[in-house]
Amino acid sequence: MSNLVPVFYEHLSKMEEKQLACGVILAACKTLTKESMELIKQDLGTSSGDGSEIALHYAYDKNKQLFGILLEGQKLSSTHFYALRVKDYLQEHKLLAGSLLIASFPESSRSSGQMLMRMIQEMREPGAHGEIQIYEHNPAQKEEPASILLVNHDETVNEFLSIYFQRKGYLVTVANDGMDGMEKYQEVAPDLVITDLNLPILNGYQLMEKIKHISASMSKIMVLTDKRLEEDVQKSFAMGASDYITKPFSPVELEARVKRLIS
Amino acid sequence: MRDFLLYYGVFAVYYVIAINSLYFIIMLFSFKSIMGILKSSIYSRFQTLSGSEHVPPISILVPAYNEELTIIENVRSLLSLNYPRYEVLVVNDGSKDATLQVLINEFSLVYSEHMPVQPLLHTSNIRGIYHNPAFPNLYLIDKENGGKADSLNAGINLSHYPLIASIDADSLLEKDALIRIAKVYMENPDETVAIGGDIRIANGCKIEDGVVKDIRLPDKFLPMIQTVEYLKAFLGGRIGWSAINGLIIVSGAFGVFRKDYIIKVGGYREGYPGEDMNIIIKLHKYMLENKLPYRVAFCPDAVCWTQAPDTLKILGSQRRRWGRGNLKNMIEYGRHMAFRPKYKLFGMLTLPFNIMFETLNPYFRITGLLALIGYTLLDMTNGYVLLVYGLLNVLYGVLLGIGSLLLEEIAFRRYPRFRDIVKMLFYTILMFFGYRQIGVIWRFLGHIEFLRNNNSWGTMTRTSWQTKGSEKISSLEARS
Repeated sequence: MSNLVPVFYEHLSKMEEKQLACGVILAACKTLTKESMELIKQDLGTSSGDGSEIALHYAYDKNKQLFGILLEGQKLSSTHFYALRVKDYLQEHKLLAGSLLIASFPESSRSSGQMLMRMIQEMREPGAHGEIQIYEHNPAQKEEPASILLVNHDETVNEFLSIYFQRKGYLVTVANDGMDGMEKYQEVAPDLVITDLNLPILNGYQLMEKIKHISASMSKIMVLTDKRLEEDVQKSFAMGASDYITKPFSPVELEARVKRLIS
Repeated sequence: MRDFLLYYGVFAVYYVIAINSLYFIIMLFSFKSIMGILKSSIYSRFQTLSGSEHVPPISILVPAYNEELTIIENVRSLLSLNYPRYEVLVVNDGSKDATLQVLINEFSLVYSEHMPVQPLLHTSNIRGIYHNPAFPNLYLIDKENGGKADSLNAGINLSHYPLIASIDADSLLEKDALIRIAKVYMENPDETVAIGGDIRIANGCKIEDGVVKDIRLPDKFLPMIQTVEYLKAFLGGRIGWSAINGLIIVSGAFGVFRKDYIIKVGGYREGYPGEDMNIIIKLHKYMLENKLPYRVAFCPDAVCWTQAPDTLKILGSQRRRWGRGNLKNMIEYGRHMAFRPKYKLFGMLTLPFNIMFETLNPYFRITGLLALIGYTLLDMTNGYVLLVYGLLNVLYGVLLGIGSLLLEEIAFRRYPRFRDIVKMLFYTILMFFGYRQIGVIWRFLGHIEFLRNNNSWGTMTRTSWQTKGSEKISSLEARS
């Protein structure tokens, strides 16, 4: 473990508790001695360049040759601005050995500790000399996959679409008729409902009406149906559908439209 | 005397052979066309059709008389059919119960003063038309009591579309039924003037939210025996008759017609039992007299579920009414059209067949049986003639029954469990020990009623779909 972590972690967790912003700059440096560290502290000081005071904390990891600065109360934009100064200073003193990586809590991540660890990991991959990179958290692990409720009487279509969407990383729930669709809707509260209009027990219109009735923050509704009359298209949109696709459909087009609606 | 009885008895035997042979030939035609029907129903894309712009719009007419218990379920299920463009016209035929009010409340219908109605056909006085823009394809006509035919005519006057479907208020249409029947029409729209759907008995089936969820055979004796009886009539009979374009009846419970020809033949006949047979005879007559090519089709995969009477009393009144209707139609039309080459197959085969084997059936059977019994009593040694008569009846009947079961199993398989097939087979045989004989007597009684000029509808008991068996109301009492 890098020794940057224990040094910064205390500060970071304090910030996190107080819900304060905090910027982090990491730079790949040549070997720094204690004296040169003190020198840097003096030179960079506590002023942000435009005169206002910032609380700064410095740390250096010998093994990884990483120089870190923690900026209390700074957002990503001002951290970025400050990083330019740091870069200039380090280049001037011929101390810079690679790229810089900047981030800010909570803009870049929900957990400051996790953010720091990941930043250190990312610094291992050498960037171009003098480049300032902005830390991005991995989108794959960002949040839960979007969920889709498929309401269709045709089992073949249901099976095909659920496999198709599952492979694309969506959570899929399947219902065979309107009533079933309604129950599943209440269970899973999906981001998107893809429904047919020809459904047993409750038809598509009744289903849409009920969905509109029970949830104020309505899920998106997409109609996927055989009905190709203008009246049906018009009525569906009037009842709150966001899209209308007629069978036979292209799964690629369907997925593109789904993506546009939820993400 | 003995000789006369013997000859008459022998005649009765030949009569039975002739009638059953003809039924058998008709059934062969059913077998011949069933494979075509089966294939076209398997490979057709009904789902796609049900949303197509090219499907002709249909007006569904629902005559309702004292139907407050079932009407809501019914209309709800009709409003959710898989069909691109259609309207539902409920005609309240001066009900004495709350049918009108129940409908108005349920769908928030509003009296509309200026609804355009074309006076195409004469009907009883219309009291009002109700509509609600939230249900754009539902109309309610309130009129004075005038009978079923009158209600259908009133519906035709208001209807907006070129095809009309008549549906009994106590029946349930399968969601695909209308699109399947429309497909038959679309195959030959110029010549098709009427198409009948398949009627099946819903007693015993699980019905939820206006949809038949679980298909089961009835538990009670009478509905069960009617189930096999209907199978025989529809699959064994009507498919065959429609194959040679000699269909004489499209069930009033579910049929689709071309509105222009219904109007040309003067609409449904008022105050008439058997108005469904009457309209088909009139269509045949009109088309043949004007030398127009036409066909009356039957669509066995368009299914309408109906409740069968489950007491002897109600069943008897229904059958007496059928007997009455048949006799009246035969007297008024059969007399002029039968054996006239002008009326082609319909006049040369269908009508004579109907007169000989449907209308006069009770007389030949009853008198034949009486003659044989008399003969046997006079000459105890020749009892075997009676036995031959009985055996012929039963064996031929069972053969025909098995044939129609076979048709069902080849093409439709509505009852998937093996137990059900065995049960149906058992009842097919059982039908010939008592039930058929009572049927003949009912028909005979119907004729007597007709001759005494009793034209009432008889009582028909309705059971609500929802509260199955718990509540019963009597409706259709003395309608004329």
